[in-house]
Amino acid sequence: MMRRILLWLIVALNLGLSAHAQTSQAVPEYTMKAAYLYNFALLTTWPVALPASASAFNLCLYGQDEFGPALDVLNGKEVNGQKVQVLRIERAEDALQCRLIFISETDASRVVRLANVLGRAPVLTVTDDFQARSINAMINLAPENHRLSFEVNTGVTKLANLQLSSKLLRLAARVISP
Amino acid sequence: MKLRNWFHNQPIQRKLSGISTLVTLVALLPIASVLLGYEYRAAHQAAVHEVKVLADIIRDNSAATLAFQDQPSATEVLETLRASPNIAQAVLILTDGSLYAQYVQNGGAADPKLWNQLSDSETVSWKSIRVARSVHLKAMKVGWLVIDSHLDAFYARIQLYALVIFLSIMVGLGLARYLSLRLITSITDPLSLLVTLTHDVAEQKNYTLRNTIERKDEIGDLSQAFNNMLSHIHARDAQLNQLAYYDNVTGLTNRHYFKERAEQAVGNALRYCRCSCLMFIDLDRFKAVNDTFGHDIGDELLRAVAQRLTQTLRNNDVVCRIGGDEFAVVLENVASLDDVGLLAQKMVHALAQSFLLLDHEVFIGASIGISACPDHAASMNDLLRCADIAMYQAKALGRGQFCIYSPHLEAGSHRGG
Repeated sequence: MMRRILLWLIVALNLGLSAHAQTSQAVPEYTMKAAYLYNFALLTTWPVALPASASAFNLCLYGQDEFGPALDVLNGKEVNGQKVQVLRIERAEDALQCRLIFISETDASRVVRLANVLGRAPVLTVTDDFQARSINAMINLAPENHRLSFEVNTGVTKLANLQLSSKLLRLAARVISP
Repeated sequence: MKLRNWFHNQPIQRKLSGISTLVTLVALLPIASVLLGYEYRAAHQAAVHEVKVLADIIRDNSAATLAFQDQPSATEVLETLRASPNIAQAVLILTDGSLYAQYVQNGGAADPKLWNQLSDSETVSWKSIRVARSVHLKAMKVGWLVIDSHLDAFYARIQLYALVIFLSIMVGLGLARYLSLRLITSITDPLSLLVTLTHDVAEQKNYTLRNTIERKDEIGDLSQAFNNMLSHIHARDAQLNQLAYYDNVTGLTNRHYFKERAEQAVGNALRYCRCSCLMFIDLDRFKAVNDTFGHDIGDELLRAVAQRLTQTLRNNDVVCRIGGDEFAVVLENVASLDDVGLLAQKMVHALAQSFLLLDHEVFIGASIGISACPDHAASMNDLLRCADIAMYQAKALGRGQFCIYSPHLEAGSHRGG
């Protein structure tokens, strides 16, 4: 009898805890950023003519890895029928195989080198770093009132031949157009 | 049963117009119910469809807001529903089942029952249409949308439609009634004419009246038949008149006619201060002839007597056979009783001549009593009585004579004429 009650208590406690975890709004910042990256990928259209080698959707991280496992969650998810592959790249030259690149690099010279390598290549650049913003990243993330807002630079996406969904633009805190 | 009795007692015009109204109503009711049913269905489908379309639009617009967890934008998307007055409430639910954004038309909080059980569905009830849709960003499921629409506008529309149909039925019935009243008179008017004619005939006993309805339908037939019937009655009346007023042995008018004629003569005498006279003629020895030769010869004799009397009289004087061997004559506008005496003398003489019957020479005779109005009596009965008394006086004096009434006769005194 006692054991049964104990069992019930444990089950009830577990349920309560899990319920609490679910309703909690406090999503860790980088988990949210990873989700945003995936959403950006969903709401962006890349030009059709892409290297045949790109069978996977390469989602790259350039610079310090603040995500940890939060980014690896995206591995295997689908974007436009392609499986997401999370890559952490060191060399700026590797950036050309990416579809989307998150720049967390703080070294200004490395950021400039990446910018030079990418040029007008159809790679969606996202950053939350002020240094990186100087290279005209397409989407800038910034925490704002306990949530993450973003601004979009349509001038740059147009040069790179990327099409951002109007839904994305509507949600943007600011749209910078040329 | 009562209704049936009531119906039977209504005038034909009301009956016919009632029937036409009823028939119109019976014809219109199925049409009205089919129309209403169709409109109900179509409007209901349209209402459901509208909510579905709205749900699809809101779903597309809210997908990104759910993905980016942008609550203000989500609320903003839901707020666009305010343009649609039928939407009572709408909610966006995250995949974990928690409420993310809500819209309630009248303010307040959304009903938690809305997201009790989430599945792509449409729930239609008497009061509401509820459409639940899962929200996807591309292939990624980001949450749920539930829209709840009330049916006030739908019911208002159905009510209006029912009202319009009701009014059209009323107008239709009114028109049908107006038309039927106008058209029915072509049937009821001739009938009324016939009824009036029947009453007139019954009251005036005038069987020469005829209706003038000329139609080829049943009413025409009825009118024609009615006219024919009146003609037959008229002819039969004439026949009955013949039977009633004439004696079929002599061809003279009978006692019945005589009384009417005598009444008329008394009336005229009193009214125009003229003298009218009455003669009673009683055949002497007729019974003996009848007994000796039989009734046929008796009848023959009567016919011969009638012929002689008629020949003696002026044209406008009437001789009637008022009994077996009794005759009577009504004389109007008599100048003097002496003239009547002369006439009576001629009659007695005429009847005193022999009659030749079956090669037998038969002698009879007649006694005549005469009374005059207003000299002797002022009423028909008195006049008859006076003539009767005078006639018996003539018989008492010895047959083959005439006697003019005088008051002395009643006192028992006798006087020859």
